[in-house]
Amino acid sequence: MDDGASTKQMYQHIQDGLKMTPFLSKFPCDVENVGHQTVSLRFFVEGRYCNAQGIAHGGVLAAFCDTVMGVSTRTVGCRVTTIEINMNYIRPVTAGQVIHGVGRIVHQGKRTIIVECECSDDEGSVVAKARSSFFILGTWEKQS
Amino acid sequence: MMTDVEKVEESLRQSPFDTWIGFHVIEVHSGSVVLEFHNEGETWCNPNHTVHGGVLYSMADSAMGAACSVLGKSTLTLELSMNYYLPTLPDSTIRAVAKVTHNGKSMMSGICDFYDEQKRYLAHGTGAYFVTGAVAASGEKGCVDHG
Repeated sequence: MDDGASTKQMYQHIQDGLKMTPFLSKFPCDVENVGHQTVSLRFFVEGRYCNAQGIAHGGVLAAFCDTVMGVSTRTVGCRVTTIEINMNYIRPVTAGQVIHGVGRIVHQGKRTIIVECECSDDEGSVVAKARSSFFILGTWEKQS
Repeated sequence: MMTDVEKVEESLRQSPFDTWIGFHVIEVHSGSVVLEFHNEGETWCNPNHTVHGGVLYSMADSAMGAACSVLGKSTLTLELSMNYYLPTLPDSTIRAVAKVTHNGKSMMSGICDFYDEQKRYLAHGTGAYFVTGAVAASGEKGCVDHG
């Protein structure tokens, strides 16, 4: 199988993963790019995701980063659960903005995977950064 | 006259996100707030059929932010970390118990513990908050240091 075909297959696998997540019907995001141990997703910030200060609720960006990092682990075939997540908020995000999240696997161990995610706006300014540890539950191949 | 729980619930209702997701204030003490959320069916689940970490994370942020507001401060989240210990099951009632651990002039920090209705200890969160001023009158916007 050539690289183009495997990338296309992985893209489909990531998209299937997003579709089978009930939570994401409430937080819809799209696949932008799939690469070697990296996935980027796009998320549109609706008004309902904002807090009283009119900016995106911290939990919304965390949920998005958790999703980006979770699907990034699919590029190495793992089925995971989050054991720890850490977020830094750098710039406020307002309703109507599109956020691009790039997830990248930092380390893959036998039992855990460490992933990081950088979120930026349309202008390329970093709005938040996340790092998370995932516990490996199994593989997707064995599941299906 | 409104009780403290009603007052904090009303300020939580100023936030479109908290209103949409459906977090509720259960208890209020000085520098401490307890929020509750019932996750119905599998709506809030991930592909593992357990509640998505983002739900608990959002609750931690809301609960710790509300705990800061009880001490009269309006804040912005600088940093928040969560540790997940047990899977949160679908159709369960999640309780977030938040406490302010540091009440500084420009920075505040807090902790938040999560339990379900069977008293299973689900997760723990810690957060750092930037103080933007006194609790804002509704409609007032916070500000952020753009560095």
